[in-house]
Amino acid sequence: MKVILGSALLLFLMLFSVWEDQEIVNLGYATEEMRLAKAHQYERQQALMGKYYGLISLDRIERRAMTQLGLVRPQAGQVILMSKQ
Amino acid sequence: MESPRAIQRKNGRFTFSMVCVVVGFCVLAFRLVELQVVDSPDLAREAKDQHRKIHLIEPGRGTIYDRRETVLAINSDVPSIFGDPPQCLNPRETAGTVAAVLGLDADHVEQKLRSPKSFVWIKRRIDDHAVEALRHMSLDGIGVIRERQRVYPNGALLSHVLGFAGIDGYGLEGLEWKYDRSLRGKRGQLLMDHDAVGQPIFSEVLAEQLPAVGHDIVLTIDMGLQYMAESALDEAIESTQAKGGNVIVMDPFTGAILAMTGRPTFNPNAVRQYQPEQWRNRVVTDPYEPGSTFKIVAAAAALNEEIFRSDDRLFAEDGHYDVGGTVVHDIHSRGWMTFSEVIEHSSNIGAIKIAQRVGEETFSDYLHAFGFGEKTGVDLSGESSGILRPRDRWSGRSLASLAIGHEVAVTPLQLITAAAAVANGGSLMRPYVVAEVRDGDGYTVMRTEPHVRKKVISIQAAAELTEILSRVVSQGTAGMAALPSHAVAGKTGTAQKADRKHGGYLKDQYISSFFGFFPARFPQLIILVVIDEPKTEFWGGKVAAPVFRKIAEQAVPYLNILPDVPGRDIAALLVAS
Repeated sequence: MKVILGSALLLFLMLFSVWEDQEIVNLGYATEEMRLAKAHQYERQQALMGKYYGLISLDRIERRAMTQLGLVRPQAGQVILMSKQ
Repeated sequence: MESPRAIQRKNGRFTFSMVCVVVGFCVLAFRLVELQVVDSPDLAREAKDQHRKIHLIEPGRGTIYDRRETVLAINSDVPSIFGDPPQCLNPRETAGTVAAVLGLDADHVEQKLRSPKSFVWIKRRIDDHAVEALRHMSLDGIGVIRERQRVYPNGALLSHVLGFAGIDGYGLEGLEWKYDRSLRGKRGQLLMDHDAVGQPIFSEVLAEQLPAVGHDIVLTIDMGLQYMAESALDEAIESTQAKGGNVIVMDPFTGAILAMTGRPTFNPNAVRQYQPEQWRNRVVTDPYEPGSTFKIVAAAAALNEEIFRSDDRLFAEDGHYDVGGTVVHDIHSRGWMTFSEVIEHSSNIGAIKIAQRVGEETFSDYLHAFGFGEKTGVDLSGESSGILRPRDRWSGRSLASLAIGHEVAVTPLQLITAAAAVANGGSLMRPYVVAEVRDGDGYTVMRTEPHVRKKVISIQAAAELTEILSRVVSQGTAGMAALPSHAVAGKTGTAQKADRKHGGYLKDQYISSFFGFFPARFPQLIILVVIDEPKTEFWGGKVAAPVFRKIAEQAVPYLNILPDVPGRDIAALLVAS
């Protein structure tokens, strides 16, 4: 009986060890995947920022405002400055 | 019943077998000990080497911002196509397909795919649509790598100041080059365990090879003003059919450069499409003869030395004045003029007489005090010192020539820095474009503080000269620079270009310029406009002054610049402080 219990305990410990190793490896895969995803998201964020600032560039906005919307610059006297005081 | 002989033979075989088994186990045990104990460290290292690799971590290049935190330069990753020739089964067919998608020469691609190498670039930095097209074709021996690329969202805007970074991420021109070490950061190493199919399992950054993200740079440049300056300059160049031009906008009290541009220009996103000479920031690299804008030096010296007051009179020789055998002319013949009128109407003869009264030695001292002949110390690459001959090499006509801006070459940046010294009450500032440098966590590691290089003239002399320069705009040669709401002080300049081949000056080739600051008594901006070889008109007051007005008119509401108010002027402020 003692031999059977001892063998069962030994087997359990072995299986636990194998499971633990497997879990560590799985976590390693998951961590790596997330690290890569983070790096990819950072690069994407940089690319999108580049695009965003390209889209709001004054040169582009003014060109569109003048050519597509027909807007014009204010003439002298049309701009009235108000003192903050 | 077995015979004793048979039993003896059987025992012998059993003993032999046992000996063999024992010997066998001994050999195995020996080998086991050898592997597990003796060779263990080497074998363990070999095993690790097979599934561990060191990867380089490329640090992201820092971002460049303007003073309102608008992104001016940032990183982006773009796909590049490479070939693995040994894996390419049909180089001819593959080359034809790839060449058609990427717009390349098929023979050239085929030649690459027949290379004995295991890696060849097919085309770098292509668009995502081409990559998708190639992916769908699943070609043998063709792969995609994503590479970092520097992106300049505003295109050609501010290109000379920013410069550009090369294909390998190193700064090659402008601030990208000047601040390359800060922007580039430090490459790190990552130790990575792989499984049998090459999938990464664990990674660990090596402590001795920690990567450092590149620092971010914040400029003093305001992209709103930069755009106003560039569009006004473009319009002026187009309307006057000029060869080029420069504009600088500066805060006269700090030396912070708010806008800086030059033409011809280039787009840093497609730098190879332009000639290298278009990359040069001519505002700091190219000196020119300033002409009449330089008359402020003689005027400032005379007022500061109290040789003249603004209402003192001098004789302008009715437009003809012999200086060492050379007759100098004024455009409009005049007799007696006040000191103020000499500057207002830009009289050459009057300016020469002022310089003569100041004297060679004192005038030379003021030229150096205003920073001519030496670098301004701006944090941009390739700055020129300009050309100013030492006094012991002056000829008999040098004093007269220098008084009217000849025999001297200055960069636009030197000139605006000198003019700013008049605008701010007499202090020569060090101009700068980098306001601060921040590390990857956003902490400031370097901040530029305004730096007074020297005190050039007194506040009173500066205030008196400012009054005279205001009259240049209200009554003199720069009427087209006047603003309806704000008093402007400034000076025009029209200089013939020097003939570098044959000496003397080129006929019909001029540099027209104007610097102005406003509100005159307490200026917030100083603007210098230089137009190179205008064709339709050449007077500084008609070519450059309107460009100043155009920029100033837009800058007033943009920066909410209020007009002068009584009691608030530079002299009162500085005396009080």
